[in-house]
Amino acid sequence: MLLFLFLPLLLICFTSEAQVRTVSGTVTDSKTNAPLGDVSVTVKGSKAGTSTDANGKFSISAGAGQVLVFTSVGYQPQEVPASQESFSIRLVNVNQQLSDVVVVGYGTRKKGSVTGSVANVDSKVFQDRGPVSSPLAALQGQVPGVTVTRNSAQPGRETWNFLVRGNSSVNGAEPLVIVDGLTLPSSTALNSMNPADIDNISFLKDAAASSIYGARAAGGVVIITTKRAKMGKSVIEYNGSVSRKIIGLQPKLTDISTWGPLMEEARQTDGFAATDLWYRYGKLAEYAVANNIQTMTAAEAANNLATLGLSTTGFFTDVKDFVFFPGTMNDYLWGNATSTEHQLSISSRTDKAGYRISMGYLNDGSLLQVGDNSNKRYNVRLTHDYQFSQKLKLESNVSFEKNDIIQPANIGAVLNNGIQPGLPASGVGKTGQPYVWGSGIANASPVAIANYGGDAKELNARINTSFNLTYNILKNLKAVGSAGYYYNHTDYRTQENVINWYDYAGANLISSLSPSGTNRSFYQRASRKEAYYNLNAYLEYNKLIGSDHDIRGMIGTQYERDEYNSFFGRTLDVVPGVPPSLSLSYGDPTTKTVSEAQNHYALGGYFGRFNYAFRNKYLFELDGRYDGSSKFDANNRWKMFYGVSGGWRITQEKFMENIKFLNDLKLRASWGTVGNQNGIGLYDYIQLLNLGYSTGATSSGFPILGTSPAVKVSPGGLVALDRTWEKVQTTNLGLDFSVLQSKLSGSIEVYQKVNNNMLIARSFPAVLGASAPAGNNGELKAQGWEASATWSDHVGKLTYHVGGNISTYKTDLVNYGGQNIIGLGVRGLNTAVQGYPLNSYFGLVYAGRIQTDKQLNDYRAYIIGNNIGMPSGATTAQANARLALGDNMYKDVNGDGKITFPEDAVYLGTSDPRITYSFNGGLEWSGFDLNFIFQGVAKRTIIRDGNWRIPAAVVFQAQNDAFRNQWWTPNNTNAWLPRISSTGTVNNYNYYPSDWVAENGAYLRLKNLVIGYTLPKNITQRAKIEKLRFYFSGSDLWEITHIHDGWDPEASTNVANTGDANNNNQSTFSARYPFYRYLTFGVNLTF
Amino acid sequence: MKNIISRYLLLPIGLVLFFQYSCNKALDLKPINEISDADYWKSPDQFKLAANAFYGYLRTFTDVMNDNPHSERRADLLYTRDGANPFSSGSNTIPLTDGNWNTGYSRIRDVNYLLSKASEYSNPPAIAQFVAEAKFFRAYVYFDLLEQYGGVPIVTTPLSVNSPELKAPRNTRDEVVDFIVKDLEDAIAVLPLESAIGATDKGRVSKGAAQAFLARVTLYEGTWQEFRNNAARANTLLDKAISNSNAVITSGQYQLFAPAILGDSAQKYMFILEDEKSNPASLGKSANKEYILANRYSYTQRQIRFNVTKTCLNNVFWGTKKLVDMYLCKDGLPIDKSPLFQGYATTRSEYANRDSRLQYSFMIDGNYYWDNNNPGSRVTWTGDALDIANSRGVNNNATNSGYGPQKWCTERRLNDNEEGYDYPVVRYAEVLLTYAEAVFERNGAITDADLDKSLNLVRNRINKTMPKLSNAFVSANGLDMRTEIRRERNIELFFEGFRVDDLKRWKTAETEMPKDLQGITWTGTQWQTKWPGIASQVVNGVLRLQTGRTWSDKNYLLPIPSQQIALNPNLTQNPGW
Repeated sequence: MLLFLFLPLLLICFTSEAQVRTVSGTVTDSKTNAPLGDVSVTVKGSKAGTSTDANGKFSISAGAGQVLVFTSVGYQPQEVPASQESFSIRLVNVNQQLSDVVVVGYGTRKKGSVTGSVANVDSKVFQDRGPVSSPLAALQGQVPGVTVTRNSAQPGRETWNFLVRGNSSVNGAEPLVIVDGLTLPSSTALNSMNPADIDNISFLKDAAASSIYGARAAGGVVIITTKRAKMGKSVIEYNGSVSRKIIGLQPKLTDISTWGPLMEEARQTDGFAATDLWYRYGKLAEYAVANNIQTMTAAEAANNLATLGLSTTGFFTDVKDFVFFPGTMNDYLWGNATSTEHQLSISSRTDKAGYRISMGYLNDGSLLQVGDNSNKRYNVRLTHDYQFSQKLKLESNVSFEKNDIIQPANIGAVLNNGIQPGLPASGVGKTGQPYVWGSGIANASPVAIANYGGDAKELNARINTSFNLTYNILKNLKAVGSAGYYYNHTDYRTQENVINWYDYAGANLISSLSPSGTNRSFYQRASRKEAYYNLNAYLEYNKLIGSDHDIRGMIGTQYERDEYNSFFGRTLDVVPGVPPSLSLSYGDPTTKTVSEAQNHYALGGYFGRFNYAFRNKYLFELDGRYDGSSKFDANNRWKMFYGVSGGWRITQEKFMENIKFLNDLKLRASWGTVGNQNGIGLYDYIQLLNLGYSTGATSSGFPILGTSPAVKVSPGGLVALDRTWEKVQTTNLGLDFSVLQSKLSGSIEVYQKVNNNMLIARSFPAVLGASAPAGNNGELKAQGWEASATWSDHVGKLTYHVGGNISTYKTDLVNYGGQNIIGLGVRGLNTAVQGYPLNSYFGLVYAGRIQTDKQLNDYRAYIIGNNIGMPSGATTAQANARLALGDNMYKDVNGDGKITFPEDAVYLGTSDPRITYSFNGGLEWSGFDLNFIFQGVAKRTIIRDGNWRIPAAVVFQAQNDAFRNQWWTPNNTNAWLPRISSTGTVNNYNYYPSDWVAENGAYLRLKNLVIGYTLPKNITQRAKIEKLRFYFSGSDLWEITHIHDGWDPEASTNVANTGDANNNNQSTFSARYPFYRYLTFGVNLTF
Repeated sequence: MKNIISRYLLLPIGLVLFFQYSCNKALDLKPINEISDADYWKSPDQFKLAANAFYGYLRTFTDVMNDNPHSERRADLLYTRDGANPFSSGSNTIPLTDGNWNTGYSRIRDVNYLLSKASEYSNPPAIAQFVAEAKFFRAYVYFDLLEQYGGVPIVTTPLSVNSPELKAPRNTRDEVVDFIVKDLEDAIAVLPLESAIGATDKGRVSKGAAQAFLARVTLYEGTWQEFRNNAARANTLLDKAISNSNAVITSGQYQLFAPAILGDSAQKYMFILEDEKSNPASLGKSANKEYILANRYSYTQRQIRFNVTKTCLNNVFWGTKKLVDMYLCKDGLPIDKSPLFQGYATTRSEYANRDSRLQYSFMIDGNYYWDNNNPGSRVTWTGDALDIANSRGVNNNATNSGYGPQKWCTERRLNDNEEGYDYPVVRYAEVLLTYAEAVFERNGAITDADLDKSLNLVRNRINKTMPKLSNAFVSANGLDMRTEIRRERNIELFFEGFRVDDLKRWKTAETEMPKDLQGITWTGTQWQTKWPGIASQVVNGVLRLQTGRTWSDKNYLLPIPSQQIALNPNLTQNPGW
C-alpha cells in the first residue's frame, strides 16, 4: 500500500531540464575542512536546485551569469557567481548544534531540520570515565527523559537498565537498540560493548521519530553509531587508565562489642527472663569483650556464665567453642579494588577505503575480598568502508566481545544477612580449618564459603556483524541494503564443593556441607545460545525542487528473527581436587540431570517516510510502518503504525529578522503510534500440552502408577486468538531555541503517551477452568516534560560551558480491567493498581508513638478486627506478645473503628524515579580542562525490604549499626525508631508499610569530575605525538541521600540475591555488592 | 528512461514484494520445545498419559493435614497447635476468591479436554478405559465441589472465553448428584476388576474403586436428603449405596489388612506400610488388599515430601476428649456403660481395657514410642532393650491436649519428608461401614447377618475378643444402633478427612460443632500434680482447648466466592451467606 504512496514521488526524479552547462564542486566546513553533505545549492532567481552528496560534491546546470546560493542548516548562506565550472566552497558554521548530523531511523538528518523528539550524545560522554562496565553507565543524567538505573555493583553483573520516558506498558517495553543500522535482540546486548567504540547515540523519544521502527519502538529507540576512520593520515590512539574502586555507601554492622548490649536490651525489652538463650549470649559477649577474651571453649563459656550468675542449661549445645573476635562481616568481606583498562585503535581512510580496528581490555576488580571474583572484558572491533565505485559503497562492522566472570559458586551463601559478629576474619580456626559456629551452613563463615566452596564461571562471547551496501542508483535515488547477525553464547560452569567444617579449636569435625547446604558436591554446565539476524533494505529519494521545496522519500522492508536455545547438565558427587568436568563424577545415574529449552520469534515489516520542507522554514514529516509478529495469530498479526510531525523555524520568518538576540527558534509538534508485544508468550495462539514427569524421589506430584511415577500430559492454558499489538499513541510538543549568538541554547518538550489497548490479564468466571490469556483491554497514560539548556562562551583563552536538564513523568493506569485491589505485595508495593501510577506504594498512616498508658489503653481498642498483625496479647502478657509503650500507632483512616489493610491504607508514592535532573559544566584553558556532572533524582519513594532494616529483627543475624540506640526507650521517647524487639509480631507491626517507614529516595550525586591536561603540541610533536593528555577523574564521589539504613539510594529496595534461570537457578546475582566510588588516572595518546 | 525504470526501480520493487510474501510466511513459527495439541491424541498411549494427570487429584496427606475443605482441622475431633480454625469455629466469612473452587473447575476442564478429544478418536474401544477413568475423575471432582458448595454449574466440555456456560446459573444439587452417578455408572461398566489390572497398571482406577466411590457418593447424598426430610430421594440413593458397596464386598477382590503376625497392631502398621522395613513382620505393600484406591508413594520413587510423622506425632494435631471417649471398652460397651472402664484417675487409667485402636492411635503416658529420628526410630522392631534404648524415650503426655495422636507416624529411620506410605483414598473398611450404614438408614434397621458381613469385620479386626455388634447386644445394653454404627465410622476413619462431611450429612454439626474442644480430665486426677501449668485453662475439671464455637445453618455449605458472583451475577449465593 505504501508503495503506491511513494511511487509518484520516485518518478519526479526523471523530469529533466534544459541545460545551459554543468558546474560542479565540493562544499566543506570552513573550520574542520570536513565535506558537507545535504547543502542545498540553488540558482538564484530560478527554480533549479540540488544538494550535495555525502562527500560534499554537487553538480548543477547554471548559466555563467547566474549566481549560486549555498544554504545549509547551521551555516551562513553563501552566494557565488557561477562563472567558473568548478568550485570549492567553504561554509562558515554559525550554530554547531543545528548543523550537527543526528541519526534518525534509516538515515541521518541535521538537527535543525528534525521534527521529532531526538536527543543525541556523542563520544565525549564515554571519555575520561574510567572503566565503565556498560555504555549505559555513562549515560546517567546525560539525556533528558532517559532514566538509567542499576541493580548491583557486582563485577560483570551491574545490570544497567534504562527507560526512555518511563513506562509505556505494564508488560514492560524495552527500548529498541540499534547499532550501526541493525537492531539488537535486547538491550542487554549492550552490556559487553566497548564504550570507546561509540561515536554517538541518538535517542528517538516520541512516536513521530520512532514509529519508523513500529513494532518494538514503544519503549523508545536508541541508535548507536560506532566510530569509523576519518579522512586524513592514519591515526593510532591509545587510552589507558587505572582506577581505584572505593567502597561507597553500605550499611555498617555492629561488632561484638556493640552487639552484646544490643541483644541484651532487645531480649529484656521483649520481656524474656535471664534464662533466655540470646540474653545469656549477649551477656557472655559483653563479658568476653570486657575481659578481652576472643575464644571460649564450651566449658569455659559455662564457667563464665556461672560467674555472671546465669544458667548454663541448654546453652547452644551444638557449639563446641565460642568466638568473640572484633570486626564485622562487612569489614572482612569487602575492601577496595583496582580496575585497569586499555584501549588501542588504528584508523585510516583514503578516497576508496577506510578502516578502524580497535581493541579493548578491561580487568574489573571486585570489592569482594574473598573467593575468586572478577570480570574481564575483551573487545575487538573492525569497521571497514569500501567505495567500489562512485555509486556503490560497502560498510562492514565486525565486532567480537568476550567477557568472563568468575565468582564464588553460591553468592547467596556468602552475601546474606550473616550471623552475629565475633567470627574470625580469616574464616578459619586455630588449625586453619574452615570454621562453623553452630552446625548448619547459615552458621558457617562466609569467608570460608567463598574461599573453599567452589567457583561459578560465566563465559560470554558475543559476535555482532553488520554489512550495509549503499548503491546510488541515480543522483537523487539510492538503495541501501543491510544484513546483520548477532550471536551470543554464554557458557556457565559452576562447581560447589563440600567443605568440612570444624570448631574453632579444630578439634571436632562438625559438619560437611556445600555452600547450598547439602552434603553433596556438584558440578553443572549450562550453555545458552542466542542467534539473531536482521535484514533490511530501503530506497531513499531526495529532491530539491526549485529553491523552496525540499522533498525526501524513503521506503523499505525489514525481517528479523531470533533463535534461542539452551541446555543444561548437572552431576552430583564430583571428584574433589581435579578439574571440574561432567565426566569426573562418581555419582550414580540418578545424580545426573539434563534439560533443554529452545524457542524462536520473528518480526517483519515495511516502512516508509515522507519529508517535505518549505524554504527550510516549514518542516513536515510522515512516517509509517506495517509490522507483523510471530507472537500473534495470523489474523491479528499485522498492524499499521504511523506518525506525523511538523516543525516551524520561526526565526526563518521575515518578521523575525530584526530580533537579533534570537538565533534560532523552532516549534515542533508530533503525533504517532508505535507497537508493543512484550510480556506475552511466544506461541500463545497455539494450543500446547504440558508434559510432566517425576525428577526423582523428592518430586512429589506424580502418583505411582504401575511400577513407576506417572508421566502425565495435560492441556496448557487457553490459546489467545483474539489479541494483537499494543498500540502506544504519543503526542509531543517541543521548542528548540538558541539565543545570544547561540551561546545559550536548549529545548523544552511536553509529551503524553497513551497505551489504550494494553495487554492485561482478564478475569472470567472460574468455571472456564483456565486463566484467560491477556487481552487488549487495558489503558495506561503517561505524561511528562523535559527541559534542557546549555550556555557556552569564552573569556579570552578560557572556554567554558554549563548546562543542565530536568525531566519528569507520571504514569496513570487508567484501566486495568477494574483491578483496583490494593495488596500488601512486597512491603506495600503494587506494580499495577487501576487509577494509580505503576509501582505504587500503599501503606498505613502513622499516628505517632504510644507514649502514655492512656494512649496505650485507648489504642488497644483497635486490636479487635485488625488485620495488620497488631500484637494482641493481654496487658499481662509478655512484652513481645502485646502492645507496649514505644510502639507505633496508625490512623483509622476510614473511621470504622478498626485498622485494616488496605481499607486504611493511603498512596505513598511510587518507586519509579518521578523527577530526574542533572547539571554539568566544564572549562578549558591552555591545555587544562575540567568537567563535572551532577545527577539526581528529586522524587521517589522507597520502602526497604530484607532484614537489615529493623534492629534485632532476627537475633542470630548480623545487625545494622545505623539503628543502634536509635529506638524508643522510656528515657528516649523522641527516638526515631519504635521500641526494640527481636520478635516478629512486634516488628512486623511496627514496621508495617506506612508513611513512617516509607523513605525519601531523592538524592543528588556528583556523578563525575574530570581534570585533564593536554601537553602543548609543539612539545609533543617532537616525539611525533599528535596529542598527549593526562587526566584524573572521579565517579560517584559525593552525594546527598535521605536513606537511613546505609544502603545507596540507587540500591534495589530488597537488596536480594537471586538465582539465574539459565543456570539452574544457581544463586549468582547479588544486589548486596555496595556501589563504589571510582578514582581514575588515565592517559590519552594519539599518534 | 524506460530501461532505467525497469532496471533500477522495478527490480527493487519486485524484491520488496517478494520479501513481503516470504516475510509473511516467515512469521509462522511453530513451537520447537513443546508438544502442540495438533500433533497429539493419535494413539491410546497418548490418552493414557493424559489420564495419568488425573491421578494427582486424589486426596492425600496434605488434604487432611493442612487447612483444606475436608481437613481434620475443620472438624471437631482434633485441635491444632495453630489455634482456632475459622471453619471449625463457624466464623469463616465469604472469601473474595477460593482456590478450591478454581482448582475444581480447572480439573474439570482437563478431564473434559480428554473427553472431547476422545469423542473425535477413530478407534473408541482402544481408549475406552481412559475415557472411563476420565469420567471417574470428573465425578470425583464434582463430588468434591458438591460437598463444599452444594449445587454448582455443570460443565461438560472445555470452554472458551465466549462460552455461554460462563454466565450460567448453578445447577441444582440433584442435577449434580445425578451427573456424578451417571459418570460413575458409565465408568463402572468399562473399568476392569482389580485382579485384571496387571503389575504395570497397578494403582489405576478399578471397577471396585468406582463402585466404592459411587457407594460413598450415594451414602453421602442419601443421608443428606434423609435428614432433610426427603425420604423418596434418600431411598433411591441409599439403594445405590447398598448395591454398590455390596458389589464390592461380593466381588472378593479386597480384604481388611489383618495379618495374624501383626496381631492387634495390624491397623496401625497398615497406615505406615512401606516396601522398606516398616513393621515388625517386614510386610510390604503387596500384603495390603484393603486399599481399593490409593495415592501411591514410595521411598525410592516418590516420597511424601510432607513432614507427616513430625506433624502428626502429638505436634500439630492434638486429640480431644470427645474422640478418646468415643472408643469402646473391650466388652463392646461405651465408657459410661462399661464396668471395665478405669476412669481418669491416673495419666494412664483411661487407656486400660479399651478398643485396641485407641492404644495404636494415641500415645500413652509413660510408654515408649518411636519416630523417624536417630535416635528415636526402631532398631530391632521387637520392643526389646535395644529398641527401647533407641526410642524417643518415656512419653510425657503433659503437653498439648494431653492426648497425643500417633496415626500416620512411621517408626523407621528416615529424614523428614521421606516417608513413602500410600494414602488410602478409598479403603475396604469404609465400604463395609458404608454398607452397614446405608442398610440401616434405608430400612431403619439392620440384620445381624448384614452387620456380620460388614461392620463387625472392621470392629473385630484387631479386637478379636470384643462382642459383635448385634441387635440383641444393642437392646440388652440400652444402646442405639445408629449411634454405634456412626461410632464405628468415627473411630475407624478418624484423621482420614471424613468427619466434617459426615457431620454435615447427618445434620448433627449444629449440635456437635459448637461444643467446646477439650483435652484431658485434670481436676482430681494425677494430671493435677503432674501438669500444674494448665490450671488456668481448666474448666469444670477438664482442660479447655477452645470455647465460643458456633455453627449455624449456613455453615452446612461453604459460601460461593464473591468474585465469582461478581463475574457471573447468575450464580446465586448459598443460603444464609
